[in-house]
Amino acid sequence: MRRGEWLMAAALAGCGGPDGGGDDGAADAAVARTMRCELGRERGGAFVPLGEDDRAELVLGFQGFLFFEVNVRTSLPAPTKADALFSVTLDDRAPFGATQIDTWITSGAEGHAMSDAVIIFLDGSGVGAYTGKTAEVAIRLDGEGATCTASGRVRLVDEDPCVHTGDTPDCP
Amino acid sequence: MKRPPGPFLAALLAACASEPTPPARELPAYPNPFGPADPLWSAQPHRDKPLEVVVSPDGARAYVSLQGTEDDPGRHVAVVDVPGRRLVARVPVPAGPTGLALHPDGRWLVVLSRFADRASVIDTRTLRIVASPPTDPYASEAVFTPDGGELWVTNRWRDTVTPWTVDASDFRVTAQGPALSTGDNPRDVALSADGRRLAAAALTGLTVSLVDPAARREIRRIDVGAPPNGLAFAGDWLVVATLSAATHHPPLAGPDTDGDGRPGDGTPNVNFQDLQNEIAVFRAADGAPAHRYTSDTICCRDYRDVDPADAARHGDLLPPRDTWIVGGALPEQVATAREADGAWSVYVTYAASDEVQRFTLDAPTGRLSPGPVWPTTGHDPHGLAIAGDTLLVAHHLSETLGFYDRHTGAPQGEVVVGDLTAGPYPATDVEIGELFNEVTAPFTVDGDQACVMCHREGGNIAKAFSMPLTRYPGLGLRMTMAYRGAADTRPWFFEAAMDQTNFKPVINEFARVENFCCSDYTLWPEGAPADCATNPPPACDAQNPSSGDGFGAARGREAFEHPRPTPHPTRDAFFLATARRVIGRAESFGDGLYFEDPITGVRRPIPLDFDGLTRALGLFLLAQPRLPPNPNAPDTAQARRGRALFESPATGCATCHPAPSFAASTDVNPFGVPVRMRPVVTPMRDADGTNLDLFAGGFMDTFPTVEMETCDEVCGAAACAEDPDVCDDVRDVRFGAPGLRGIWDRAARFLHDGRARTLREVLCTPGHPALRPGETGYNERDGVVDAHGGTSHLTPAEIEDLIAYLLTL
Repeated sequence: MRRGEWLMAAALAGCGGPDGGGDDGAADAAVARTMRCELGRERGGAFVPLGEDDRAELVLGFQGFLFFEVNVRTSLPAPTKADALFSVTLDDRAPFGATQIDTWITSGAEGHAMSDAVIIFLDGSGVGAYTGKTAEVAIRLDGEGATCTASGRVRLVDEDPCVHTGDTPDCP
Repeated sequence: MKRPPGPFLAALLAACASEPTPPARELPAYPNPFGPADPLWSAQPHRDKPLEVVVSPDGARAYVSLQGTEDDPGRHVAVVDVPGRRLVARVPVPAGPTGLALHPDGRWLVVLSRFADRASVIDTRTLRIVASPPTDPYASEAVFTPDGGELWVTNRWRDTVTPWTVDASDFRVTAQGPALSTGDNPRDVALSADGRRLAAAALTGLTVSLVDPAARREIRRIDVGAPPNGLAFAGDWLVVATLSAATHHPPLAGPDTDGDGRPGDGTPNVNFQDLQNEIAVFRAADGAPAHRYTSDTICCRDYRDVDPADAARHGDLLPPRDTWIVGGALPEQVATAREADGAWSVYVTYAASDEVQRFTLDAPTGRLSPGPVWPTTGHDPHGLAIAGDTLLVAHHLSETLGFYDRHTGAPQGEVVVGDLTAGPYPATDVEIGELFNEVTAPFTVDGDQACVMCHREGGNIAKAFSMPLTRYPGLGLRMTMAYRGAADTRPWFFEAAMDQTNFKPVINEFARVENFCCSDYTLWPEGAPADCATNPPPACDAQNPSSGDGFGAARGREAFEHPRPTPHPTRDAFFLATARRVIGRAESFGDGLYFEDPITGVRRPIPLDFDGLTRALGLFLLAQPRLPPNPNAPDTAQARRGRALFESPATGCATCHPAPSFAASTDVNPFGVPVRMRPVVTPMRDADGTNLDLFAGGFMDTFPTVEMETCDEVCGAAACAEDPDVCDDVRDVRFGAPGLRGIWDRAARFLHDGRARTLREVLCTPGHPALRPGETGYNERDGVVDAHGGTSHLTPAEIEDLIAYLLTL
């Protein structure tokens, strides 16, 4: 099976790999082990899957950068660092994405590890162009000879009245 | 900061007097860690990078140095038939041909190869090398005296300008010296027509040495306050292409960086708005400043530009309007010509905006009058020369020599002098990033700013700036960083905050989103209409007077009104349109800059919008620019002693600066030390103790890899709720350990705020006996010595050993 095919299969299987979705696939010098992962958000230190809360706040950040964040719950061994390759599909726009390298994966209270926030920067169209839209997000984590993929939908919301463009949040 | 000339050169000269010329020894390139194992890597074509151009006295031939890069140097000088507009020959020379000097009689062309220990003398009648006089590596530029009896040569390694005595009958160098010290990294050199004054420009040291050649004496060290790029004499005047002396601070707050005894830098603009292009005119006789001219866009395209009428922001401190005549970005090289009416024509290449401008210099007063700005037909115009009515310009990136009517600017054709076998430039995504790095100005709102203004030739300059990422912008300082050899020292910046994927805040300063209607959150507190980018509402057409400062703008407040600098409703539209115009495409090639589907692994090129071009720049920084090969011998007894000290547990240097990158990074970190750590020197503090090194909260929220102690952590939630600033004098940022490779070539300002002027000041504890008069030891943190490694126990000789080793890295 070619790499792209088994990655697709992994996604369709809900983050399982060709070994049946286990997170204990035998290490292979040439092929990264396929692990489980799941897309969600960090809320108060805990991981909340997108199935329970699909909102992602649009943040107007430093110097006017607009972004939202997602987190990944994973069975990658923690603590470790992984490169997070993500893509975003929004409306009829061409999918876009990037890699956030050296993303920390740390152990969570529930026995699974969780990534630091993966920050997804949006273009300069402004908050209004994104508010209320649903973004399809796909992520692949690569680290420590292991890999996992996850995908899901997030609803972009603008509920925080503050802007974060300066030193401290500026709220009306 | 560099080693004094040793017996090496003298021995070589003596040996050459009677022996056949041995082949030049060339410095080996540093290995490049960015290779095929990296998914972003792709093979890059060789390019020749034409740099300087000189023309024969009869105007018939032009000679162009093909410098190449640090790890892929050029090895030829191109010979061009000027009237015929054709390449005649490419003469092989040692690695890295840089400076050219043509003897006044036109017979001998001297070529300085920066990576070789021999110059080349080409007989222009035969185009053969007839002599290879010895020189130190990094001989940069040279100029003959009017009588042809001397050649004055700058040397970037030695920080010197040196006369060579020449017997022109058969071109022999009969003597070299004495070497005169200059500022850091001298490059360009010019001689007055009467031969009585010589000027050597210290590119990163920000000074010009004015020399009496006959007396072999520097008569004045002119502080330009910015990199002196090209320079030329015009009668009684010395014209220097440079940049603003400002440091991006407010005019009357922060450190006194203009030396006027008052706080601030004396200029009303702040941050990158202070980055102006300038031409300075000095009196040739004594170097006295006569005139200084600045960018014609100093106001008011970017919403942050200070208007002269804005009293609240000290608009009255802007330079007089009649000095706003510099019409392009990064004034690089200068050529002058005496006209029939006695006035001087002055031509300046603008490397960062692909332009040339003509000025007229009034001979009695030295005043410049602006002429038109002409676009060049190639990228990164560098060296220029005049042949009759023709202006010749070396297009450094496009591999061509361009011809222009010097009276009208009309293009008269190009000759390919470099290497286009891989196709026209740019041909790869790395080259797109390189082009953006060098020719940034078209992508900036002001149209006149560029990365390479401060990161000159991939290095740095001896200047610290106010940067907007700090909690107290305008009060603190951050040193300009050299970004050569960045591939294995991620994350980048003193703050260890960014890498090639997350480089946005720097480029953002060139084109802030508030300038573009649809992303101007001050105009649209709840967000612009969803279709704003494709169907801009009437509000986008409003041309309101500029006022206020957008930094503090927030929802619910009055919109910050300002005219729109471009018709593009979004920054991405602006970038894409500019990419089409400048790069010739709006999409990456896809060889290193691509979108990859995380699920399918399918890759495709990406648009060259803000994100795309920012990533292109990051990709370029991974691949190039490379470190200049180190000319300091690594195997001297002193360097070996220094290395032993560096690697000893007693000093601990190698723990945080481990080989081979000599930085603790995520790429190279054998000891697993934290990539970010508490500062090892006393923070820069205000008079009341406030820590001016702290980051802005918004910066940390947006780029969370940066780290700073929170107020709550240090002083407790209750105290911080009452006063968020209560702990600012005792909180800390986290800094990375900068790489030390290439430190021999860097401008002599060290530590994050540039406080140290020598490596001795970096290494020594306060009062250390190794310190020289006027020096201060900065190896202490709030009175605790040895905070930056254990050096207090070292003898002065051991400190010098340690420095000797550092200079070999």
